[in-house]
Amino acid sequence: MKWLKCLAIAVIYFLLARISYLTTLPAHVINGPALAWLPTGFAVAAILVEGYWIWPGIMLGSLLSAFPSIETWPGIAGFVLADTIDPLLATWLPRRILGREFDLCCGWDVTVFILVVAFGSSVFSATVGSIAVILAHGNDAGIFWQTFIVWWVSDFLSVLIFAPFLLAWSHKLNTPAEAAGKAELFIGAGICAGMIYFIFSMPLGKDTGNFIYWLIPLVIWLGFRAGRRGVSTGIFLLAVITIVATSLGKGPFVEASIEESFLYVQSFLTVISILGLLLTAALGERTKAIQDRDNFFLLASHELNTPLTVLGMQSFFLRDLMEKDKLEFLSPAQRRDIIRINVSEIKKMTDLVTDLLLGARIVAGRMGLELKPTDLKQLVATVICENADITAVAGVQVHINGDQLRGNWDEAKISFVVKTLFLNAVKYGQGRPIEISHSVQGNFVVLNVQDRGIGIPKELQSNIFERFGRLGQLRFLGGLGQGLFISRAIVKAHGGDIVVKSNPGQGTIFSVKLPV
Amino acid sequence: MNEAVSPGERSTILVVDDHPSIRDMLRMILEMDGFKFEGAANGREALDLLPKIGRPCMILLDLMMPIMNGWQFYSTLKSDIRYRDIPVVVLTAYSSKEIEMPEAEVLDKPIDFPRLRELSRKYCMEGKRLSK
Repeated sequence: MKWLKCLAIAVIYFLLARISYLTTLPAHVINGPALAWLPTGFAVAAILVEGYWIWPGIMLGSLLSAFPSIETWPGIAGFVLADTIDPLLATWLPRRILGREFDLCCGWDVTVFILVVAFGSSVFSATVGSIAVILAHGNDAGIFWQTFIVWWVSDFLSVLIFAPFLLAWSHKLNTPAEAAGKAELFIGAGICAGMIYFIFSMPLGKDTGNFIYWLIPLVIWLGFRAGRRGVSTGIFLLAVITIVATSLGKGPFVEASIEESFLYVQSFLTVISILGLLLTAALGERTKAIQDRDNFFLLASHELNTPLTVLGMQSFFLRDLMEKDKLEFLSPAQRRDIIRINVSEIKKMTDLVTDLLLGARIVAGRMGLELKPTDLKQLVATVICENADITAVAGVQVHINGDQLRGNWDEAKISFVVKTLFLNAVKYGQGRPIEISHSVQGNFVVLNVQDRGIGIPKELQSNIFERFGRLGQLRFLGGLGQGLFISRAIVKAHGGDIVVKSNPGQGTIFSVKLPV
Repeated sequence: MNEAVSPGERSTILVVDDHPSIRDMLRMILEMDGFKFEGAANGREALDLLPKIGRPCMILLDLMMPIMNGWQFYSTLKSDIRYRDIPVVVLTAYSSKEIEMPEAEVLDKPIDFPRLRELSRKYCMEGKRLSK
């Protein structure tokens, strides 16, 4: 099936290349680069959806599309090399930079998409392609920059406009549903179509360029109400209409020369597609923030529900006994149990509220430190002692290594960090021994908390220090999922850092670096 | 308090919940009501425990648990001919529609005690009364 898919990709690539050639600049510039080279955007989307293995399909498509217009072998080789490596680079680089799969969901991903995928990787193909053209045309260095610019712009425009459109419809990326109902979408699409018809059908010679700004509120409406699919489809259709109309000598971009007209078209399409991408990124972040908040409420109510359930049971049980005059039936052991459970459940609720307050203070930028000479060894021993009951229930052995070591730290907050890391090690450590050690390295003391438990999957490692980083996973393990977020903020406020090394199935080491 | 069941014929109620405090409190309440209590911290533990204890008259089941959650335990239980007709009461903050367990009773968290008592009487005492 894979070869069949490669073949299909090659055919689509070839057809898109034929369509793109219709927008090629006149032959006196060069043969090849078109106003928007659709195959690049298609190849980027195809690799993101299918994987790197489809590169032979892209190469074959590129080879087929090179033949009619490029006559020399160095020219063909350069063309094919540039067009095959560009989408591979464009999909590999952002994954490398972000350290994860990238989505067009939010600000950072979209920034990387615009700067690295669209503008950056196209520089490579434009350079290789332009060198190939020079070789093919006999070392006429004069056309290098001209070719480079045309090639670069046509590649990045394709990535900016065509790839998001294909990805939005591919189901590969997380595409949020549109907010607008069918009637609103229908009316909105009608207004867009009417506006575009009005702008592109105005007679030449009038100053029609100003009317193009009327499209901006429509793009914003698409972003807000029609979701990522709506805005990417709208911009793609607008690009097609703009290019076709300008080629036919209609619309606000028509200038004296075709090169000048196309330059205005490209500049307009670049701006409008970046506007669309940034808008959907902002809305994606808003959606994610709302989801995080709702998940957080769910988690917080779940976490508070358990101690409340226990305390409610106690009250009911004791009231029932009292009403039936049977309180004396409680054995001394049962009385001790009731007090023990009461204390431990109230402590759980107090800890949750402390977490909430600390998290809120950090977000508001109001976390103060009360620095005083603190003995780290003593601090670690105290934390472990205070949580001995939890360790005992989990049946975990704890080994502590390290000499007495004093530093100027906020004792309560560093205790919070050690407690968070230690309890995480107990939770995820599968009952295997936990090691807590510290040593001096230069001007810093490094505290390691190591477990040999389930480890952290690679794809989750990058966001465990985010607020609510654990949301959605392992909810039964308790906590609000912001312990590591708070811990990192505390350590950073001390001028230190906290890092994680983890192998799934083998365990995790958290290293806290604090200035001595 | 249950005076209807004498110590010699105490029915067993199995509580499957990963929170030790909830198990401890339910133990006190159920034992005070005259039932025999058995506890398990997750579905796996409960399945291991079932053959070793007398047939429980009712299972109180939490949903969010590590190792084997309530849904997995419920479907395993219902596919086992030996245990499929043991009544299951789910302890949850979800609604009965959300949990998708058609035959199970739902007991809201925080626990509604009169209803817990009503259910334990319904499943663990009515049969005995009838047989008397």
